[in-house]
Amino acid sequence: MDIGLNALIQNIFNSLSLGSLYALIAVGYTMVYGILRLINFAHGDIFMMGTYFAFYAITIFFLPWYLGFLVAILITGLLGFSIEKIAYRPLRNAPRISSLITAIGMSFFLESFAVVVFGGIPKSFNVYPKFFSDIILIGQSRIPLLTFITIGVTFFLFLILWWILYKTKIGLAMRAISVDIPTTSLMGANVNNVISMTFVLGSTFAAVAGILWAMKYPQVQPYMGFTPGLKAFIAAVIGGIGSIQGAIVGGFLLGFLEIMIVGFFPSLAGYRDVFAYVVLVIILMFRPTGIFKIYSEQKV
Amino acid sequence: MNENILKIDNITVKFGGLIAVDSFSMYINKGELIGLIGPNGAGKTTVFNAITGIYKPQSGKIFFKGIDITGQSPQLINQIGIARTFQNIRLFSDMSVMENVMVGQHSYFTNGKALKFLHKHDPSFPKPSWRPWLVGAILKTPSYLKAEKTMKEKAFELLKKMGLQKYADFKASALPYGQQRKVEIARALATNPSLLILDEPAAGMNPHESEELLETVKKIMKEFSLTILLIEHDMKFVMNLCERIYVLDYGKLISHGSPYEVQNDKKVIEAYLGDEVYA
Amino acid sequence: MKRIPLKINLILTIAFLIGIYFFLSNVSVLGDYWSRIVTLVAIYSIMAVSYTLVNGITGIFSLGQAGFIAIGAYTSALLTLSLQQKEMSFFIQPLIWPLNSIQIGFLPATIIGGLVAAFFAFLIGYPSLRLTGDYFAIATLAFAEIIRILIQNLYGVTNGTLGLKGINPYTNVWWAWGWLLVTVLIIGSLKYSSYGRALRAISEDPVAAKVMGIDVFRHQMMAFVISGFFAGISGALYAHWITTLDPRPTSLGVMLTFYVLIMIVIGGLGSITGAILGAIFFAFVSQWLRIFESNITIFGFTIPGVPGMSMLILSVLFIVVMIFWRRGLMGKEELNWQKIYNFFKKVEVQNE
Repeated sequence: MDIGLNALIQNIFNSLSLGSLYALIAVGYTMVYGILRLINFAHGDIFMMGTYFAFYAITIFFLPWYLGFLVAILITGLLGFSIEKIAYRPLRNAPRISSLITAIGMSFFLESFAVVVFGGIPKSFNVYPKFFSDIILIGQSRIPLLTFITIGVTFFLFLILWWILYKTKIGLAMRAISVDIPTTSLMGANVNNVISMTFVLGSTFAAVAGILWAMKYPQVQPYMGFTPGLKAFIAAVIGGIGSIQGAIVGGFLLGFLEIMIVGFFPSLAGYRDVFAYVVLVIILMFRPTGIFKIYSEQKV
Repeated sequence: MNENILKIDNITVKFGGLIAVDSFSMYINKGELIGLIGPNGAGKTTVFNAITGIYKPQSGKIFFKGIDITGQSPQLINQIGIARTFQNIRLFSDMSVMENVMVGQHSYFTNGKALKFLHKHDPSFPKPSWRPWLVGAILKTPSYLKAEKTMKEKAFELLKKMGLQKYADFKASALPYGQQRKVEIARALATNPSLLILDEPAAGMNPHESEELLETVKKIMKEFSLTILLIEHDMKFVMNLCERIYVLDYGKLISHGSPYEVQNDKKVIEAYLGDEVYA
Repeated sequence: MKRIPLKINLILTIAFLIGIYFFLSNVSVLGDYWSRIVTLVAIYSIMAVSYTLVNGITGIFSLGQAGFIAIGAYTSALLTLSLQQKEMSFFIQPLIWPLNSIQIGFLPATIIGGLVAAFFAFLIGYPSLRLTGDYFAIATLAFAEIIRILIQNLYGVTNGTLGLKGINPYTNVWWAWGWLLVTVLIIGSLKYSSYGRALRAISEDPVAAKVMGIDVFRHQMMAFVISGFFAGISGALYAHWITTLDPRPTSLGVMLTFYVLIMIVIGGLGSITGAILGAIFFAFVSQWLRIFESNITIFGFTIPGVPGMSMLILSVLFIVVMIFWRRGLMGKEELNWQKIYNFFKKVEVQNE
């Protein structure tokens, strides 16, 4: 009984930390989709780039870890900004499928870039301070400090996000644009700036998620962004794409689902990645608008 | 048998909280030419979309030849005999004029589902028989080639009737506006309709073109023994052509009758004047 | 410009096919390595042509192509592997009956591979095709990943992560190019039929197509299943070309879908000849770019090769094409003698 309870506590914390990471990435997807109706396929790879930036900032430039992480996060923000400007902006008025294809191309580019510049072999991400791995005892359950840090950082970032969206001018413009681009530009908001800001914000969140992820599974490799990226996107769809609350809820739901199913049915561990896809398919079949309905069916 | 080819019974269409069409009813007898008018945003196109199955009304029923077609799919509604054009021309712009018309004929060759539907409601319609058209089309069997030839000839004939034969090989998007409207009508006719629904057929035409269109509409109506329902802003066009007119305002029927009656209805004048004041 | 008469068109086409025939019969002159590439070109072309039927001609954006290729590859390989090889490979978990006791010829195995892939296309298309746009893309991507993860885990059927080894290298130039001919004939014939017109209409405006009486769902399903069939065929050919299969994402996973997407985008979405040109381009350029991945010595200096360089260059090219030249080589149109004639006429006029 005790063992069962411990396992449950362990699983709850695992779910929370995995859910936090999914939610952090999902927010980036959902904000971009809300504004541009574009699935930013490269978002998972931006997440990957963030981890490499952190890795090299610390190993090559010998920055202290906190500074290295900060620099990496900022550079990743810049990367998101440039990607939008170079690849997505020229296609903004093109058919939506064209921008989707370009986003896929961008994802492919970032992966190849990482292979060429950083090397295809996984690197061990042992650049974080050792005390992150300290074990904290809750009852009989052993929870690493990193888990608490992950959950805490995520919570803090969502507070900041809430503040930006609801207390600043640019946040107001973001929310307005996600409803209607033409009207907002009439109202005087600079649409380009707002879209850039959205990419910067989404990318910095992805970078934070990436660093936390790399510490959790301590390694980095060029294709590490694909699966978490796809799953976070699914989380955004589950919550209702375009809705930020939805992305957060979807992320945690997915985290719980994955950890708990494997926790209770260990024989299904090999199929762990399938759950998200199956949930996606079910959601798309029965409630394509997700939990928080944002977009109703298109008018003809 | 039922005299009405189309009967709309109290339909309501809502988008979220917005009521676009509010318990609207109308009927059309076989062979009539009916106009549906009203100020902008009155819900006319929404009525068309409900008839052709693009929107499903929240309540009310639509009958075509006595058969309840409410909530059926657009393709089925087309296959059993209702064809339409669009207010903002929706031709397949990358395809030639000829191909556009031939697309209209395609379902005629693969209409098993529609025939099944009709047969269920009225056994006098022929029972569908399965025809391996896809395989025939890929292997280019003689029977397919024959069908393709018939389609081509029929399409060309239609283009001729609309005075478009010289444009047959043009890309649809390369045609002038007025001609594109005519291609859309030809494409709709290619689906063998008994009820043709025209959404502002004369929009964007100069008086000469619209005069010409008026003649064409009269001609095809006779030739294909069609029943026609149309939306039009060109009052001269409507008054000259239509036998009866329905007037919509804010989704509600405000008047109905002969062109003369409608023209002198106080409510109609108010609705239009109001529109002008705001415009 | 002058129109080329039908007769000359026909003669030129036959001459072209005979030319290809002679090229293929003497392909061994190029050496083992390049004749393998010539075979690969045809396999890629089948992948690309079947993909462009869905993504180009029908205009629905699927990202599930690799899933169908993988199904075709595994199905056919499991059918042609010798019984001893099967027993040797499946040491974690023995292969299930009846696969462990049958071995059939290459042609039936290929066709069965195609049919199984087509069947999966039907199963996947049925729920997915109710979705539109990006939702369809994501759903098909998810299904392809589900297929890959199943392959990775069903040890009793697919040998899981160990993969399949020792597949007979049946695929030669003739099989590959023969199947390409069949693919092009069937999909080309479909494109230029009443059904093809309906598909093109759907890709331009699904609502207008519906109002013209076209059952959009059924037509999209038809295209999706036919595409799945040929993707399965290409997978079978690929399996017997490469002779080992494994379910890593970089081999039969989403990466393969990206590759095929690059081919059809460069060739022009919706063009069959464009898809083939894209496949040829991709096969040769990705081979040629490999020189950047091995050491180059110029004037005694050695520039070290960088692995992954070829894909980096291709991905940049891909993005550039999307931004500046969206119609690709052919747009939606097909390369024919008339176009070649017009092209040379233009060059001539310019030279005068």
